[in-house]
Amino acid sequence: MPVFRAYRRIIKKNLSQLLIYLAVFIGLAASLLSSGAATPADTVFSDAKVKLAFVDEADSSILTEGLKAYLERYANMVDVKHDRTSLQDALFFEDVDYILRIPSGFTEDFMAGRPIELEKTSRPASFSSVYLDMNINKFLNTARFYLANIPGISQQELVAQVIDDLSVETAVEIRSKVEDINVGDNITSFFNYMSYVLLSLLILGIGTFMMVFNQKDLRSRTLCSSVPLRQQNMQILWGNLIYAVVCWMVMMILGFVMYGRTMLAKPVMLMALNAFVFTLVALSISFMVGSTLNSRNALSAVTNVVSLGMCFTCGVFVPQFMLGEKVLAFAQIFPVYWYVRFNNEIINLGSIALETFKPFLGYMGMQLGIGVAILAVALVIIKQKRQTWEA
Amino acid sequence: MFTHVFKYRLKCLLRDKVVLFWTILFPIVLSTLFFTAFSNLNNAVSFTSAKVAVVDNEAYRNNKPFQEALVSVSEKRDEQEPLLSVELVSSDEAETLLEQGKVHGIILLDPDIKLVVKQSGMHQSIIKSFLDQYRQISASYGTVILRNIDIPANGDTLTRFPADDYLTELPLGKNKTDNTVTYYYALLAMASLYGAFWGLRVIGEVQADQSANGARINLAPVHKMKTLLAGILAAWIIQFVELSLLLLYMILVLKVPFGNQAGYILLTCLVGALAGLTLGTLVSGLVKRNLGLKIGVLIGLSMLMSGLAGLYFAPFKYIVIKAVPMLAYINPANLITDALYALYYYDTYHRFALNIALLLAFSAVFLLLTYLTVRRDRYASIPSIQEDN
Repeated sequence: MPVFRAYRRIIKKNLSQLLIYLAVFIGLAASLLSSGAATPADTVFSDAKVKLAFVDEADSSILTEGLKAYLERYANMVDVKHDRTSLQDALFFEDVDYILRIPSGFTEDFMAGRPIELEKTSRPASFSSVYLDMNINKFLNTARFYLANIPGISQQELVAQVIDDLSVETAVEIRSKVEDINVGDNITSFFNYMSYVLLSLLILGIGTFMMVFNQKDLRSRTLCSSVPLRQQNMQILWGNLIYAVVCWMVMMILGFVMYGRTMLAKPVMLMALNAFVFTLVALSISFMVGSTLNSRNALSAVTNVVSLGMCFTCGVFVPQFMLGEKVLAFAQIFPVYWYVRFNNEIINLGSIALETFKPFLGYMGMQLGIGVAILAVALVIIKQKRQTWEA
Repeated sequence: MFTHVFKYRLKCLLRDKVVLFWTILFPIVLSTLFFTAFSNLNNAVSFTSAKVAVVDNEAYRNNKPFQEALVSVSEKRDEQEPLLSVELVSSDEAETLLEQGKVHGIILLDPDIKLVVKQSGMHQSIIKSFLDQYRQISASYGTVILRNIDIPANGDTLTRFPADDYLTELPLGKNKTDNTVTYYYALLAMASLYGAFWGLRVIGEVQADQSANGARINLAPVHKMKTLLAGILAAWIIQFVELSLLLLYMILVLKVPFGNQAGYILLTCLVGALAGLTLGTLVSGLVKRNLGLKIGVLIGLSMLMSGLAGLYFAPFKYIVIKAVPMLAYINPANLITDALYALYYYDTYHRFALNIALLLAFSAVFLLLTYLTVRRDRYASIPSIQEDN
């Protein structure tokens, strides 16, 4: 197996470059997707919570303390320094969603029935802004209502009464099936990110190998060796396949290290299958890239542009539902789109039966179809290249 | 003599297609990708009406006050989406709508008001807050009437429950918050740091043991520092023009908001280009001989620095500033990103000035260290010169 051995040596020589990509992926995966254990589906309703910075510029009073305590039902209080820059930064980088500022003299004005104004800063027309506005106004309107109708009510009594009224809650029923296990978005992201690493690793590794083997003189020499062409090609094919499968296995092992038993959940195993299909497609992409290019510098450029390009437009780095319609329509020509769509949808599939699984077979079919088409193009290119040499 | 050397340095550098690709074409491609991916991102947090199916049964038809309350929150209020978008349907239809995910929740009067949802969430919480409020107001009326036994039970003499808005929006920054701009700023920072590859070439070509060109240039009767300075100046100009092109592309084609201070932004590019370039000359001077290692170190450094400045995940920049402020101030990529961010968002120029000053200081230090590492190199013999392949 001389060709195969050469293959191994080439990969070994370039291992450090390949490891950079792997390290970047592990770093990203570990920092962004760390908590990934499965959680059961919601069984009790819980109110959404907004990240709130509560800035009380007056000395706190019973009223403002009451408001703050009440808001804890709808918000997680974030501790931010109260100077302007810290607040600005916190809002910009989404550490807080809502800043509420209580002006000095608020309590006296409010208790005396004078008009009052609270200053808020939020992302205009965002969910958190609408949601918290509604609940803050609710508190103050109820308090106003009592002040107007029960003259001389004390601050203490007022707050107690308002909080008592506002604790009235609507009964909520949750419709979710017991068997729904929430595998978590993290593991989906993990698999989606994986397409970037697999593409980079495969294009770089296989591209490097093909480039070495396709050097004109080297190719001429191997062609006139005693190993028949067919066997040479078979050995190249095996080398590529084994390299691809090893890359896939490394990813799966990484998955087990990060997510443990969750990897054995049914939808996750299907994702692993999907990743395997994608690996084959990435293999054919790499094969094509490797047989068209002939400079190392061009290879690293193409690796980055192809892998980043596909991953950005197909919803790997930014989820598909956040992408524009036009982008998504265009992205359908890339296998990554179908790969990601499979992962995103399989997680919501309740029971896996032949009928419900049909679209997923379609997604894998799309990937394989694109892969075969690319392979065909690559073979034509190789043949043409050889013919021009021979001529 | 200086102009002569400078002219040829400029020509040589401009023929390096690989560095040209990484310093200008690649950032343009990447910014375009950011654009396609982020074009819709800011709409994702925007408020959209919560969709509810109200079951049209006996209890609902008899409950006039609740119907009125529903109407009042499903009307469009000054430019803003209404709170709820209501569909009146039969019980079965409501179940199907919920199952298919067409509505966020079902409101059922049975005769008490009940909310049915599939999961907790923002939309669901908004529906619940509305329903809670409806019931709370009745509770408040009840309490007040109980406390004022002498007034007529229909509550006509009571002050009505107010529906005031006490909150006024007070913008904090100069421009609206937009997390996606950080990615473009960090990208510009990355492109600046890629200028290090020019620095690497410039040094490689004046060091006799690093390239055949270097060996030839060392033979010429021109002071080495003159050649070096001519090279650095040529590289700086090229890198600055490249960054300006990238900036123009982002502003004119991608419409990335950079604020309105073109002069200050160009100044950031000029200083950023110098910082990247001198980082390259320093690394190239420190790491002797091995070209592959130099490139590796530079790629690693620029990836790490731009990553910490928010290239891969914008909030990371903020996390670093909060957790390890020191790290933010010694990271050139973060200084560039932060200068642009300060221009865009702050109304004062303190932070911008601090960033630019630090960048200049770093460039000066890098340049000085480069000088110390490459000066007075003498070569008794040069056994082999590694040619870049």
